[in-house]
Amino acid sequence: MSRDFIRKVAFGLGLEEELPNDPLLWSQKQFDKIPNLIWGHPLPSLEDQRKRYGQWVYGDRKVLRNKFKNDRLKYESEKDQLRKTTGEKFFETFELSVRHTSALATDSPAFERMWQFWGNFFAISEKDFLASFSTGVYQREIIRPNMNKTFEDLVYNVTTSWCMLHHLDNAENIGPSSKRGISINSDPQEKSKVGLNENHARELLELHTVSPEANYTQEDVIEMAKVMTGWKYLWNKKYLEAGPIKFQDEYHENGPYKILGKIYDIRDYNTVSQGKELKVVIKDLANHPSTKKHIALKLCQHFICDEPNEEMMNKIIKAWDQSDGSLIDIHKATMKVAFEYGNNFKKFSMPELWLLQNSKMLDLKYYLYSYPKGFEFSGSVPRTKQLLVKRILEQLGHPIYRAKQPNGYVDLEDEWLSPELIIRRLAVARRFPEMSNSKLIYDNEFFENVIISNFDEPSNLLNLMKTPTTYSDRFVIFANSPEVMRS
Amino acid sequence: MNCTRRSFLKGSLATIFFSNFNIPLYGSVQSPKKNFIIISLRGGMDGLAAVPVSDPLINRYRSELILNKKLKLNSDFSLHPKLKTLHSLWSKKQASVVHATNIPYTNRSHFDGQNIMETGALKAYTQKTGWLGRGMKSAGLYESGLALSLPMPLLLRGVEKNNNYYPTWMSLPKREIIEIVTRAYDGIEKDKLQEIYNVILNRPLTMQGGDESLDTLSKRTAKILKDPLGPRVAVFDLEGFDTHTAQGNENGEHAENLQDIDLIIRNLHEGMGSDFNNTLIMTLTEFGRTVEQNGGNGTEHGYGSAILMAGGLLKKSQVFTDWPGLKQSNLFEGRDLQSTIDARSVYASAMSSVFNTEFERIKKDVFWNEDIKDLSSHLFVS
Repeated sequence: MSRDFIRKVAFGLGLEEELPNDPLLWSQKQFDKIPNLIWGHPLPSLEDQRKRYGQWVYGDRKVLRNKFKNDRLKYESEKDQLRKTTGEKFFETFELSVRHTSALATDSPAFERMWQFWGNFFAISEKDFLASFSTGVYQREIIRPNMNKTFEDLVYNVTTSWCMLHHLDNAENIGPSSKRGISINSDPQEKSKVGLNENHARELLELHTVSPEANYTQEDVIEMAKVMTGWKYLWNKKYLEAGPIKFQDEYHENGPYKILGKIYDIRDYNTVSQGKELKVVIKDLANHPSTKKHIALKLCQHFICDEPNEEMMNKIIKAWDQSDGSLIDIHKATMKVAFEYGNNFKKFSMPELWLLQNSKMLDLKYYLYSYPKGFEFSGSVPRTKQLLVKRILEQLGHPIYRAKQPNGYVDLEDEWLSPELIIRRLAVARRFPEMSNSKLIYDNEFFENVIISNFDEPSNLLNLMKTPTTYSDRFVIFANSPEVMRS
Repeated sequence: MNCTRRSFLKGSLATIFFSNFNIPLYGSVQSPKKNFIIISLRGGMDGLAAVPVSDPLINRYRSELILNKKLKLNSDFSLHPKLKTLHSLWSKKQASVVHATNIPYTNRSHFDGQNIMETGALKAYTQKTGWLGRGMKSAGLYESGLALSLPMPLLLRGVEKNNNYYPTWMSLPKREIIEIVTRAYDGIEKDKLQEIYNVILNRPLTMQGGDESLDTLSKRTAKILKDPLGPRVAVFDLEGFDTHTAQGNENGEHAENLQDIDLIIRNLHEGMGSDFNNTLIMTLTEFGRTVEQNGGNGTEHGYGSAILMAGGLLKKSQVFTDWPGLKQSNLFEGRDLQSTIDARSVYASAMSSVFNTEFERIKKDVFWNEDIKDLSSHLFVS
C-alpha cells in the first residue's frame, strides 16, 4: 500500500506531487512538531473571539431587548446590525476557510487529518453561539498546540477551556456545600436553587476519557461533578458568561471524592483552593486502561475501518504504554497500523473528508475565497464567495462546528448512508467544475493521471472513467465511485 | 443558559422528516394505514399563548401578551386566533389539547430539554435513540423507515434503515449518470452504498424535486402519506419558539410560529382527504414559558406547556388536563405553569393506538417501564 495510503491518512496527492519514497515515514514525521496553519493574514485569538461573543450576547440581551421591547421589526434589524459588527455571521466560514486552505496547501496533511480527528473527538456541539464565534479557534488554540504533548495534557486543557466548560454547562455546576451554594440556597429571595450539574462530568467520563467500558456508576459521575465545581468563567457585567475561566473556590464542593474506586482525599490547601484536584483526577482518568482502549478504537475507526480488531488497537495501546501517553507516539503508531492494514480495510469518508480528498486530487481550491492568501474581518457580513465553504458543508450535511451532540459526528458508515445525504454528494460533485482550476483541462487524460497517481490498483476506476460523458458528469462519476467514497 | 439562537433561525429551518413502512406488520397489511405525524416545536412553546385559560389572574402576569380575540373552545379554554384550522377541526371532533403537560425536565436548557424531548429519557445525553424510533421498532415498523432531513432526527433513531428525503436547491445529475455510478458498485457484494443509490434511482415522483418551504413540504407530505405503501410516520421540525423579546399577542413572533403549525395541519387536512381520518398529528416541545412576562415583553424558559393534537384518530375534541392553577403558589418554583401530566404518557398512548401495539409493551420497550400512564382510552380511538 502506498498511493492508497496517502488518501487513507491524508487527502491524496495533488497534481504536482510525487509519491514519497517511504510513505509511512513521510506520514510519521509530520507529527514531530506542530506545523503552522497556512493562512495569509493574522488569525484572531480565542480571547478575541470570547470578547466578541460577549459583545454579541451583551448587546442583544442587555441592550437591544430592552430598548426595542415594543418594536420587533426595529429589534430584528438592530440585532442584524449587531451580528455584522461582532462578526456573528463571519467567523464560522472564516475558520472553515482556514481549515480547508491549510489542509490543501500544507506539506503535513496527515497532521491536519489528525487535528480534524481530535476536533471531532473533543467536539463542541451546536450550542448558543459557539459555532459562530469560538469553535474554530478552540480547535486552533486548545487542541492543536497540545498535539505534541500527552493525551493527559490534551484532556486537561480541553476540560478547562472556556469553550468546553460553557458547552457542557459547568458554570451551573455549583457545590451545594460551597460558600456560594450555601448562601444562595439559604436566601429566601433566590427563587432558583443551585446544585451540582453533572453534564460536563458525565461527558468527561463517557466521551473524553474512560468511556462506559469502565463501568462507572452514577455515583462516580456525581463525585466527578463535585471535583469540577468552581471551574467557571469570571462573571463580568459587560461580557456576561463570556468572561475568562478562573477556578473559583467559593463555588467548590470539597472532597474527599471517590471515583472509579479510588479515594481522592486532598488536604493540601494550595491544591484544593487552586482547583488542582481536577488535574490529579484527570491524570488517572487519562491513563486508565479503558481510556487507552477507547482512544485506540476511535483512532482505528477514523483511519482504518468501522470495526477494527484487537490486534490493530493493541498496537496503538502498546505505543501509548511505552511512551506514557505521548501523542506523538500514539499518532505515529496509528499511521503504522493504517499502513499495515490498509490494503484489506477500507473506510467510508465522511462528507468533509470526501470534499477535501476530491479537492486535493482534482485541484478544486476555488471554493475557498482568496486562496491561499486569506481574508480579514472588517465588521461586515462575509461575501457570498467567502460563504461558499460553509454552504457546501451544510449541503453535504456536515457543518463541522455544528454537531448535534457532544459526541461529535459519528465516524461510522451507517450514520451517513441515507439517500438524502448521498444525493448531496451527487449534487455537490456536479458543481465541482465551478470550483476547479480554470487553467486546467479536465479531460480523460487528466482524470487518468489523477487516478494513476492516487490509486494502487487503478484499473476499475480507469475503466469506469472511460464511459463517455459530459464534462461535469465526469466529476460526478469520479467522486461517487466506490474507490473515492472509501479509502 | 440564556440561549436565544433559535429565535432568529425561524423560517430558514423548517424541516420535515418521514418514516415509512412498507413491510407488512407480522404478515398482514394493516388496512387502512394509520399515520402518525409529529411537529417538533423547538425553543419552548408558550402553552398559555397557544391555548389561553379563562382566568383573570393572567392579566396580572402578562399584560402585554393578553389576547383580545380568541377562538373559544369551552368555558375554560380558547385557542390563539392563528390556530384557525385547529379550531375548525374542533367542531368536527378532530382537535384536542393536553394542557399543563411536559416531559419531566425542569432545568430550562434548550440543549438538554430538546435532547430529552427526543430521547424520552430522564437525563440528557444518556440515550442515543429517540422514543419514536424505539416505538416503531417495538411495533415492528422497521427496514423501510424514511426520514426527510439532514441528518436523521434523534427522535426517529433506534429503528434500522430509516430512509430520508429533504429537497436541496442544488440539481441532481441526470438519471443515466446515477445509473453509471450505481453499476460501479456491482463488483462489491451487498454494498450498502449501492443500495442507497438504488433507492435514489427508484424514488417516487412525490419525493423528487420540491423546495424546503413549509407550505410545499406539508403539501408534499400529504401526498406522500396518501400512498398506501408510503410512510406512516412523519416528523416536522419548527424552530423559533424561544420568544424572549417582543413575543406579541394576536400578532407577533409567537403568533407567526403558531401560524406555521396551523399551516401544516391545514395542508395535511386538505391534502389527505379521507386519509386524515386515519391520522394523528401531535406537537412536541422541550418546555413551556414563564407565566409572567419579562422586561422585554417576552417570556423566559419555563416548565409546563401544551400538546396540540389533530386528526381522525382522536377520541373527541377536548382539553385534557389536570389544571394546576395560576396562583403564585400553584406555579412551579413560583414562576412556571406546573406540569401535571407526563408528556411521555401521551406519546406512549399515541404510539400504542396508532401502531396497534399494547401500551405495556411500548412502556417497557420505549420508556424502560417508567411510571407513565395509559391515556389511550381517554384520548384516542383504538
